[in-house]
Amino acid sequence: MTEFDKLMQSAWQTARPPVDGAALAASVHRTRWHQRLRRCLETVLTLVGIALLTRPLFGGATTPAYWLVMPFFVAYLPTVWWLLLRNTQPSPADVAQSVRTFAHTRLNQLRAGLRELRIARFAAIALLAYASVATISAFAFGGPAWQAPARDLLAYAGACALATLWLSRWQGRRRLREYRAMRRLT
Amino acid sequence: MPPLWSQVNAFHPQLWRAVCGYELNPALREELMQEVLLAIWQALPTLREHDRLLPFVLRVAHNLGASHVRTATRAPAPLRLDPVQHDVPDPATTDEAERARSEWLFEALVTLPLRLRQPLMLQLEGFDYGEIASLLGISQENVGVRLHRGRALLKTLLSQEDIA
Repeated sequence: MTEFDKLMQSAWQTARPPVDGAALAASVHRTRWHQRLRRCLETVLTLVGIALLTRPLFGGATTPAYWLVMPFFVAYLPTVWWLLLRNTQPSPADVAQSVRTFAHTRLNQLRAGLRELRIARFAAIALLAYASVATISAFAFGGPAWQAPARDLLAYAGACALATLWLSRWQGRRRLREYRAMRRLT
Repeated sequence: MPPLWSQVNAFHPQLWRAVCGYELNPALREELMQEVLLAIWQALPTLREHDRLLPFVLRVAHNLGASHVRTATRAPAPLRLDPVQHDVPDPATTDEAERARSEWLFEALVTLPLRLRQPLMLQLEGFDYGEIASLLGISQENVGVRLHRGRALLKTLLSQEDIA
């Protein structure tokens, strides 16, 4: 072993985790609970959305707000669930593969993730276009009962489009950077 | 709790060193370490050869580390390696000198391309060419070439520090 090797080896071995093993294990448990809670929250939100959508089937009144918002739920819920269930994160089996195999798998996942971001952007713009058409129609042909919910829908759709575009831009940059790094490993 | 989880605790130093080779920010290091441990927890049931736990956990750490480079936008300038401080055998300053040398090594490693950095980190951890090749999914000849290039780059960085 050369002097250089000894120097590097001793420098390498010096590094130790700043927190003890018990604290690290506890933080892993906490993260697992957070993940479960988040998935429960997603399920509850979806069930609330479906309950609102199917309200007329159980005797609920079909107000103008319902007719305007119904397509929003019909388009929005399946898209969100599709994005969530497609799961672009590496699976436990993937991360235990060799680096080269993992890099190939991750590249495919990142490509799919970038495609999903494009779909999310398209969905948000389509919803905004729908809300604009609905609002113009409500103000041109509808009464006050239609105008207020149409205006609300346009506001929600605008906020939704802005948030989606911001999120998509931020996520897109991160995924592209990771994609470039992974491509160098294949 | 998955079986073997208690044995993973013994490998925290090795996992930490792997994490340090990908991330320099202390807060992000801890975050990445937690991400690695969570992935190990989830992947442990897929481990068939129980005596190969260390290569298994390091594979997870290096895969997530390589994937983590998305947050590393800029490589910082390497820390100065102070030869005067390193040559002093005084026990009071030895710890400080070793820490500085260790930090220098990680900052120098982060500047290397991933293809050269990974085999170098595994060699520093004590793996031989065959094991490194199996962990990275490349041939032993390729491991040799990458190690040679990586070591040459590290030596250049070290000599630059010495001159400075």
